[in-house]
Amino acid sequence: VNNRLRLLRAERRWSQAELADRLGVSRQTVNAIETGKYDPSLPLAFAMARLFEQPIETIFDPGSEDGSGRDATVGGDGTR
Amino acid sequence: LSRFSDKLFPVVGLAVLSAVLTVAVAWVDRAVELPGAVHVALTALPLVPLAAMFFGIARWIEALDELQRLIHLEAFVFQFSATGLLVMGYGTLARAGLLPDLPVSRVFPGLWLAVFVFWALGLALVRRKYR
Repeated sequence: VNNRLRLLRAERRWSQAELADRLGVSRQTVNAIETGKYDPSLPLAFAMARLFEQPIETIFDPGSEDGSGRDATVGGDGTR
Repeated sequence: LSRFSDKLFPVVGLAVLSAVLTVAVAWVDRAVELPGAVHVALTALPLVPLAAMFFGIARWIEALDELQRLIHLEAFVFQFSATGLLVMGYGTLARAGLLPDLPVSRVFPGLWLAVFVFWALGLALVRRKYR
């Protein structure tokens, strides 16, 4: 699962620690999600959607079934 | 230290208290001849903070976030496997006569230490994976 968490966080000028505080998780958890090493549970993903006031599918992208899905951190025009 | 450390401090305190009581009880046991019931109660005294420590560990795990719980689960799997391999490995080599056959009372303290060492090692290894 790809995500736009780093981008959304940067837009709000929040540090990883600040985002972690707002979500009630550790900074390591935020970092692991941003780097794609860990996929959050549905409740945590919904908490992120509520925090960023965006639909969950605009933050998370499951990618294609062969695992070569587009990078959700890349915009539709190919820019990050 | 992480945001979840406040629940861990009482656990460490209880572990230290249990260790201190174990040493103190052993010292009293050697120094004074106590009647049977008092002797049993005194010997079991370090188990009280130890039981509270395990309750504290459960509370601490409950307070962790989902990734931290996964990290600890993987660390516990490492610890369980490593301790099992150590015990079975030593037992096999002892039966083959390659290592001394230790009495159980001498094995338990070392085994207890191994559990914590393997848990800490597992934690360090698993944390690297999610860094």
